[in-house]
Amino acid sequence: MIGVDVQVRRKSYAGSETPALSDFRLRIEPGEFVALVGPSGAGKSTLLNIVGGLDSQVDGDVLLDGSPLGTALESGLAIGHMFQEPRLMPWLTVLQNLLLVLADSDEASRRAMELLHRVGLTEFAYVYPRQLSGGMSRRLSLARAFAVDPNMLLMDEPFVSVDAPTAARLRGFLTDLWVQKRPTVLFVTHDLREALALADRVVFMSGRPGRVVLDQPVALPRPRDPEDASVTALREQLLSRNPDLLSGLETHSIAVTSTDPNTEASV
Amino acid sequence: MALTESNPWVRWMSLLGFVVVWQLVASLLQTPDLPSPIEVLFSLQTHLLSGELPYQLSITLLRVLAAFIIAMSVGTAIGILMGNSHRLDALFDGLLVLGLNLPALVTIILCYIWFGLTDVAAVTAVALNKIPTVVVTVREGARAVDRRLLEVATAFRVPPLRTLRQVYLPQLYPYLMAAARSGLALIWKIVLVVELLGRSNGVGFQLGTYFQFFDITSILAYTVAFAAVVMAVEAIIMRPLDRRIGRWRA
Repeated sequence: MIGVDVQVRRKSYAGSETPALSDFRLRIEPGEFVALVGPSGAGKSTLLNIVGGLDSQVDGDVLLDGSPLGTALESGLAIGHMFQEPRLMPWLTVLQNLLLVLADSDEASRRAMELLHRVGLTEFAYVYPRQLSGGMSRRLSLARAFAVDPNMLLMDEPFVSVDAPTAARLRGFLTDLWVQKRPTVLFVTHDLREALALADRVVFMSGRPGRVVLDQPVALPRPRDPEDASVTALREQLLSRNPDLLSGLETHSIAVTSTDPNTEASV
Repeated sequence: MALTESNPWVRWMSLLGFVVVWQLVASLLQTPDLPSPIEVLFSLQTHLLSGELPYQLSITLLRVLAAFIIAMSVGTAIGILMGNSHRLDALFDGLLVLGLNLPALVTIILCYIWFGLTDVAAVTAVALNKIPTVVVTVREGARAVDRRLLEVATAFRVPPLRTLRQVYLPQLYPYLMAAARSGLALIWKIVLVVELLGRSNGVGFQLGTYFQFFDITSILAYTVAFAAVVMAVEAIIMRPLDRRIGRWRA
């Protein structure tokens, strides 16, 4: 596990006058699970791309344990990613999709099979992703994120557009895998219940340009469920103190469910 | 018998029908201008046993192979570059349109004049005719490559060679197969013209000789041999390759 310091002075895209991110600062402690909540267009995915090194066109710094991102990655620190869609290679089998991100060795195969076992996909090791359901594809995507034995995990609304029971199972798998080695996690979501159920800390972002508007520690005991009374109580308490907290969010979540073609995907 | 795609007999039925019609028309007309399939078969046997046909055919096949390899590798490289860079695409697009529409005969004549009546000139002329169509097909493929999947490779720091083999090229395979198929078809045809115009061996040269003697039976015998090779290539190389590449879609 590693500590992460992010400072984005300014990040803008060509053709847009308002920057995506401006004066954004975030510190994540080693092994901490931080959920990032904010309205659509707040720059959450942009931030993940910057922290993951996928976007370097930015005025800002990312430090992993005090070292610049590039140096840290060169020295062998690993980052696991999980995207909004599973993003599996359809021409590789389930097992090969894991081996793609691992080195070529017997040890890699053993590790891949063990991860498939952990997410309940052992019997699907040699099938192609098109034969998997939406929930199973996401389990594989989750296993892939953990395959590289990550020091840090970046997750971009990974359980969006799956039904509630499937999302609950996926959160269970995530928690099981996470507690084992406790990689530092940055988890983007627009679902406050999900954020409160998973994270040690929830960071709220404003609309574009994205800034931190509230940094809320979550001290509830684990395991938690989004429907737990304690989670609901904390949510109500937060919303009564900050009535505008989710103002940009509700419309966003409706838009996602109505436009995403994978909405009905399930285990 | 169900007439389905998977039934291998369906493929042969149209060919068989063609031969039957040919035989009927030939026996009706009784003219030396249209020998019957049986006469052609006997002629084919004679040419095979004399060793002449295998020799000429192998020469032609070597030229086809050389032109094919050159056209596919050069065309694929240019296609990928143009598909990935707007600047290169804009730069070479005019040249590409010219190349696509330049008559094969012009390239062939110019190559023979500039490089002499040699095999190098012959193969170059054929490859030059084919490269533009490979470029167009592969460029389409390179444009269609899913950037989000490439991002996965970048995010997980997959080594470049593995990214190429397991993430990039698989997205290009359907386009490469299409380019290879249409490429072979075009190259067979142009190689024969090139041989007719400036070589002293090969199937094209041989057909030219028989044309001068109005030996239609021999011309058809060579054509049959040629067609057999084309079908063998399709059955032994192209279709199994197709199946292998498309396995994950099954």
